[in-house]
Amino acid sequence: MVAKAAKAPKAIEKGERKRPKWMSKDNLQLMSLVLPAVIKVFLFSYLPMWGVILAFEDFDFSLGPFKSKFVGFKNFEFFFKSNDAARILSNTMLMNFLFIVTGMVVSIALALLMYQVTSARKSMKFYQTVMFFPFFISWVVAARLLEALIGANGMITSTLSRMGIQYSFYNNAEIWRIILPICHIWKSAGYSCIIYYGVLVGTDATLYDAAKIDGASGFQIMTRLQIPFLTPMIVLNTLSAVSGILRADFGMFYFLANSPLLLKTTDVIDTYVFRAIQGMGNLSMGAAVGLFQSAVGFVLIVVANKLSRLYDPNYGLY
Amino acid sequence: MSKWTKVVVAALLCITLLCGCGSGGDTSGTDTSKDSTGTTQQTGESQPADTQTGDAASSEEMPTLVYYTFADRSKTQDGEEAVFAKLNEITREKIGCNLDVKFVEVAQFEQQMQNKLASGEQIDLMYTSTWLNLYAPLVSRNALLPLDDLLPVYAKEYYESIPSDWWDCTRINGKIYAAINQQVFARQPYFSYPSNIVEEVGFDWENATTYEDVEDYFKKCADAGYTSDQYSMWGGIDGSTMNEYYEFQSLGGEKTPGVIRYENDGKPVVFDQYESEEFQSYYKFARHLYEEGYVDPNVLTSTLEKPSLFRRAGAYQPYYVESLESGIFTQFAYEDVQALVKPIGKPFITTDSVIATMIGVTVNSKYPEKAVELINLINTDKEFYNTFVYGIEGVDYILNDEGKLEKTESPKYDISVNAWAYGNVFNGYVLSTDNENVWKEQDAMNKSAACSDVMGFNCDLNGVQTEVANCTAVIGEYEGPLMNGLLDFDSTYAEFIQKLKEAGVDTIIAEKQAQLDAFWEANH
Repeated sequence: MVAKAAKAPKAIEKGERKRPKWMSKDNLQLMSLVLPAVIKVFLFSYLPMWGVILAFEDFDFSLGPFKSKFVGFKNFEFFFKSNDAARILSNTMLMNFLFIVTGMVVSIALALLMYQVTSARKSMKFYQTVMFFPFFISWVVAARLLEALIGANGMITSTLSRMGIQYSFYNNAEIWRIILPICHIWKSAGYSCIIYYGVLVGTDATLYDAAKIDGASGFQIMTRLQIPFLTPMIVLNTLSAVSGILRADFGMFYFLANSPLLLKTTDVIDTYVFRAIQGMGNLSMGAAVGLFQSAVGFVLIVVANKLSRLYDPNYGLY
Repeated sequence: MSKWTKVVVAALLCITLLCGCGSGGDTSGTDTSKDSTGTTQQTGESQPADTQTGDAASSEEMPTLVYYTFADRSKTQDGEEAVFAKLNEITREKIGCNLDVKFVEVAQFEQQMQNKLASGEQIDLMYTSTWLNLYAPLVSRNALLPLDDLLPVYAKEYYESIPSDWWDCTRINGKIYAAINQQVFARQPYFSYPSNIVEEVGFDWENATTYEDVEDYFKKCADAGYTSDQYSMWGGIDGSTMNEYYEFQSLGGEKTPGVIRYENDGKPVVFDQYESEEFQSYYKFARHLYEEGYVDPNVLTSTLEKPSLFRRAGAYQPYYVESLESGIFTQFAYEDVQALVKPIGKPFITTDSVIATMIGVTVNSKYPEKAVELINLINTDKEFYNTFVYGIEGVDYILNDEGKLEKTESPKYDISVNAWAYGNVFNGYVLSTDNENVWKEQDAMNKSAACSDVMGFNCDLNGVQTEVANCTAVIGEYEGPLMNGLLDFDSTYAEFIQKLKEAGVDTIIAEKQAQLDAFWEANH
């Protein structure tokens, strides 16, 4: 889009009165729809970008961000010197990988199932709402709900203990590699399934009828027709998720798994940074880690996009 | 076409609106002259002013001080308008300025202050302490103005009311950067128990002075059929509790490694408390308690509402002298259950306990002199302080025949839980449930308590931030579980210490010791 915009003045110079394609009358309406999002990204992601200089400074409030002393990579030191760096990096990536995979599988399955329920359009709204609802529940509230399930006197814990199994979820780190992805699905599957469902609804239903007449089974329709329809959206979602693989959902890890005993599996970059520098009053150290996360995300998204376009030129974010 | 004109106009409007905000925030990084108060608290700034001062024009020209502190907004928002109007009346009359009080929730306070300070927003006064919005790091980043020259001139009465020993506690590199709020500075650990359980199980609480003695209480409770979550120590034990129990003095943050002990020649020595024999023996004892079943296994994680802090046994510092004498904590009585309190050790004052609650003037202040005058007012003017803390008489509280304060049934404004954060608590009204001499006794306790030999020493950890950050993370992982017996001592202690060493604990200790030695040389 930017490249095309740059061409625009040239076209005018040539004396062509024709507007560039993205400004054409048909597209203008669509462009105005995307405008708020563009403005939002510009204001909250591009304008504050100069703030990365904080990561390289020994910040001084009386001098401000532009005059504080430049200290190079000193603020990055604490994170990379940490003896837990390997652990938190691997935890962050592993957990996010689990979230991406399980979240995708479940939300696609839900979308396919919802598409099958065409006979009951009215109850459809109900299902959608039920699935979507957790998206609006904060992790703080979710943490209470989770505790009511698996806390000391929680439903699951006490059922287990009645069956003779004494198990403390909050004292066993390994089980959280399963609990957290489940929580992630609970919260986000309804949201992403709507996106996939939207794609399915947009497909031409006559294709399915034709396939049925040709003798395709339901499973074949799914694997040969529906999944290919969904693939561009899957690629898009996965690529954007990969860029955030070093960014953990702080609220989730902090509130759900808030016990030092669980840190072996649940200590991620964001919780580590919080634990380490909270209360030190050091903006720069936090900015440094944030910059590192973003830089890695940037590299990842470029590489992942390249790879996926190598596989099929149509599968890419840009 | 008209449809399109509308769309374009709307879009342009959006852009200008949003960009306006954006660039405003952007440039304020260097521009402090912008008055940010216009949008929010206009309560009583204009109309009442004219009648009060009798000088209509002056209220327009009067400077407006912005004062950031923390409070529970749910307890203030209904009555804020009236209270702030009254506070403004007082400030206009006494020091000739308007006051814009901004309450921030405690959980967001520190972060908001960092951002606002960094963005250059006008903040004249700001809460700072050793536990929230930390004082020493703010000073080392030049966020606060030195007050040495201003206090004796603009806050004479207040400045002289505080002994110079206490002022020394606020000094960093020889300068005062914040004003102390007077409260009980003396700290003393204690054990507290719910009276009903103690009576039922027949525990000799008055003679229990060590944790080993308290084990008997746990045993009796367990025998009487109570479960561990009903009697074990609330919220668990942490390093700062144990520092007080073993009379270690913390330096530069309660949880950072490195506390003081005195050698035979009286010289203070810094050592890692987590490696000390005392802590090790407590880890083992805690594990023993855990294995006996006296510790709630969910002590560190349970987010469910606790019945009451003082239904359990615990150790912390006292607030009320009178309650200590009688051994009863009326203030913390829960429903019909009173807390029995057994003080252990002696009341003790350290640098950190003196500067546990302060107000600083920031570098973004437009009117530092007025700000200091306001500090004086907060700390010396009873009417101002009580309005600030308790609200409006007749609405939020009433004074009974004895002149003691009774809160109305549903006060619209009441931040008295944190009264110690806003000024000199000794200027507050006495609660109807309290002894009328409560402030005098507390003041006497402050003046009679033993003081640390290194009072006035402030540690600057700016040079070892990498190590502090990593040690803090390690301590956060191991301290709680070890202190509460959730981890096996034999298998995890060595790992804990190993990780602390890798994180650079010795560098921190050496840094603290070097600074302390320099202080010691200069003062002895």
